[in-house]
Parts: sequence; C-alpha cells; structure tokens
Amino acid sequence: MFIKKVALITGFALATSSLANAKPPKGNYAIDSSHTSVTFTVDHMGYSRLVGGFNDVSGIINIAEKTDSSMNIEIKTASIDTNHAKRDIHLKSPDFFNAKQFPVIRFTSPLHIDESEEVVTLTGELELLGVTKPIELALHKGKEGEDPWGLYRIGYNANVTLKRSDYGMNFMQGGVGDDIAISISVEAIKQ
Amino acid sequence: MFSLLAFQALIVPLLLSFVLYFFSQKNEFIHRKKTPISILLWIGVYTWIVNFPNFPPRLILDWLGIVILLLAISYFFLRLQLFWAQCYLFLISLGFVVISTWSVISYDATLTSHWLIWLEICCFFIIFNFVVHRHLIISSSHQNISYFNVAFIFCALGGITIINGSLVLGILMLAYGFLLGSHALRELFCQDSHKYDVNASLHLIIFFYFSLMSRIYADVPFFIITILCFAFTYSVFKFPSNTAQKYVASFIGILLLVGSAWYEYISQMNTHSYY
Repeated sequence: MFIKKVALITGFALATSSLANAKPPKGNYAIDSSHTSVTFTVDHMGYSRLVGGFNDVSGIINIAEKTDSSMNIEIKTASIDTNHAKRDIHLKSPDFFNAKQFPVIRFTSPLHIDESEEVVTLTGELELLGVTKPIELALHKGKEGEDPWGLYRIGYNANVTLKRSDYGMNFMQGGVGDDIAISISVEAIKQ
Repeated sequence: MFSLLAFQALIVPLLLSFVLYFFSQKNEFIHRKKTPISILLWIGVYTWIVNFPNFPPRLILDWLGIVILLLAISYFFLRLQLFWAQCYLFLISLGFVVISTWSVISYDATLTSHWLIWLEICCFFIIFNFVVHRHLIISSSHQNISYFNVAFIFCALGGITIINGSLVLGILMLAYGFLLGSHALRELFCQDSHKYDVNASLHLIIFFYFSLMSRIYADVPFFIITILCFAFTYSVFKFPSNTAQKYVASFIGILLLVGSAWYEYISQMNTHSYY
C-alpha cells in the first residue's frame, strides 16, 4: 500500500515537472498586437516618472526543436503614445525617436529558455535610431495553451532598463532622464 | 534647461556675431569671408547644441552639420566663374535633396505613397535652382541682400519649426538667424546695407536646406514654407529704398510666426504644457 502511494506521488511529481519543463509546440507564433504592449517610464525633471508606450507592435516568435528558437519584435516608432498629442509629435521628431528616418524599432533575440527557472535572462539585440546594441531582458514565462476559441497561445513578460544616450538620443538630458525602463508583455498565437 | 537652450540659440550666436563684426572691421580678409566664417561659427554652436554629432553621420542632424560645414569650407576656398558656380550649386542642391529625403523615401519610394513629397521636392528643386542662379547673376552685377530680412526669416522659420514639433531643428535655425544679428542691426541703424557680399548666396542655399528639413522632419505646413520662401526670395532680390517696403519680408515672417503660435495656443488651450 505504502509503495503504491509513493509510486503514485512520484509519478505525479514527474508528470507535473515534465509539463512545467515542456516547450511550447514547435512552429511560428505571430504576436497578437491586441494583447501585446511595449511601455516605458522615464524620469521627468526628477518629479516623477512619465509613462508611455507604443501602440503598433508586431513580430514572430519561432519555437524550434532544439536551441534555435527566436523572438523578433518590430515596433512602429510613429505609434508612440504618451497621452499628450503634442508631446507625441515632439517625441517623433529628430529630437528624440526620429520616426521619419527610423520608422521601426527592432528587437531580436534567441529564445533559450530554461523552463525550470522562474525568471530567465535573455540576451537580445535592440535596434534603435540605427544603432544595434545587445540588451539583457529579465524574461518571465507566462501561461501557454489553448484559449477558449481553440487558438494556441504563449505569453512572455520582460523588463529591461537602457540608456537612451547609448543610442544617440542625447537631447534634453537635463529634463528627460537618460535611463528608460521598458516593460514588454507579449502574447503570440500559433500559426 | 530652457535657459541653457536660450543661451545656446540666442545669446551666444549674437555675441559671436558681434565679435565677428568687430574683427571684420579690422581685417579685410575676415570682412570678405564673413559669411563662411559666420557659418563656421554656427557649426560650433551646432556642435554644442546637439552634444557632438555622430561621425560617420547617421542621424539627419549629423548630416545637417556635415553638409553645411562642407558648404562653408567650399565657399572659403572656391572661386568659380559664373557657369561653374551654377553647376556647382546645382550639384549641391541635388545633394541636399538626396540627403534630406533618402532616409524617408528609402523605406517606400513608390510614387503613389509619396507623391506629395516627390512633388514638393521637385518644386523646391526647380525654385531653388532658379532663385540661386538668378541671384548669382544679379550678385555679379553688385546688388545685395537685406540681412535684416534674411536674419528675421531664419528666426521665423526656426520659431515655426519649434512650434511644429522639433526643438533642436528650430533652435539651430534660430542660432543661424542670430548669427546674422550684427549684420542686421548694422543695416537697421547704419543704413549701409548695399555693400556687396560675394558669398551672400550661401544664405539662400542654407535657407533652402533648412526649409526642406523643416518640411520633412518637423512637418511644417507646406504653405508656410512656400510663403517664407517667397519672402526670402523677395529679400534676396529686392532691397527697396522705400522704408515701408524695406522690411516687408520681415513682416511676413512675423505674421506667420505669430499666426502659428496663436493657432498652437488655440488648439492646445485645454492641455497642459508637456515639458
């Protein structure tokens, strides 16, 4: 009886751990822009942190068999939204994001995830204002599985802080902080 | 922060302008080359404002400095005959158009998606070449431009560019206008503006480049740019002795600037300043 119980418990533990470590089914996952957000906060003259975001985010997450998984995100620079139309126009100008010259911000990263870890450090590359630099994201894996409509979804949340001056965005350093804290929440649907 | 910007864009250029004026009175070479020298001084102010541009140039603001520096240097050394000067300026204007617009149209250069910008560029190109070539011909017969109007229209373009969205581009244009401050004040008070300046067409070329940048990167309305171009052309070609007509281009600049500021104030009445 005791052996039977131990075998049952061990079996359950193994099953759940293998479920937790399971990778999503391989294939391409298109980013669901209606459930994806890229937001940022930046210091405003030391008073508080201003919150903004980008409304147009797209991309593909590719889940491969072994270690070739990758994440490619494209953000339309002109979709910046800080809840003030005039400020958004200024942010799109050559003073900051230069949306005419650089209409897209790109993030690409290999997706090596150790499923047993709660937070994974992911090293990817961010292309902003024509400068590509490696950045390290703290990635949290969200839920995965079929939604009520039968679509297979995966989700990730990531945080990173970067210096805008590293990308040549130097203007108004006194009033607008150099450190930008970025928060990315991505949902993608299997194709 | 804003006091620093005012210092960089207004006070320092005006002081530099007076220093240049002082030395140009003492030295004949500086007097002859005062236009390219004032542009080299503007390059110094520009470097300060943009916090040292990237080299090799990457951003449109980096290209702005490089192009104007090369232009000033070429004016410092080149002495071309009229025909070759026209050919040289044609190539310069072509270079301006390519540099200003390449980054925008390279993503999607189809006629249907960018027909308006193509049309505007063509208009700019034709008008610029017509005006500059005409000015060169007139310059060769020793007429001169109105520095007061030119400085004022540069300042008006700068102010309108700031109102429309780009603070950096705007203050760079304001700084340029203020660097002509000593010429403008001398003209206003000493009434000796008819001294021939062999390099005056340089201001025309730079105004063309600045207006192209304002239109493309700060979305300054096309009609404002067009009116300013007409006002600028008027001040370049004509310097009437009649006092009422003398500063008509400056009045147009003031009207447009005040109109833009008023429109901005009305449209943003219910919102707080975002700075």
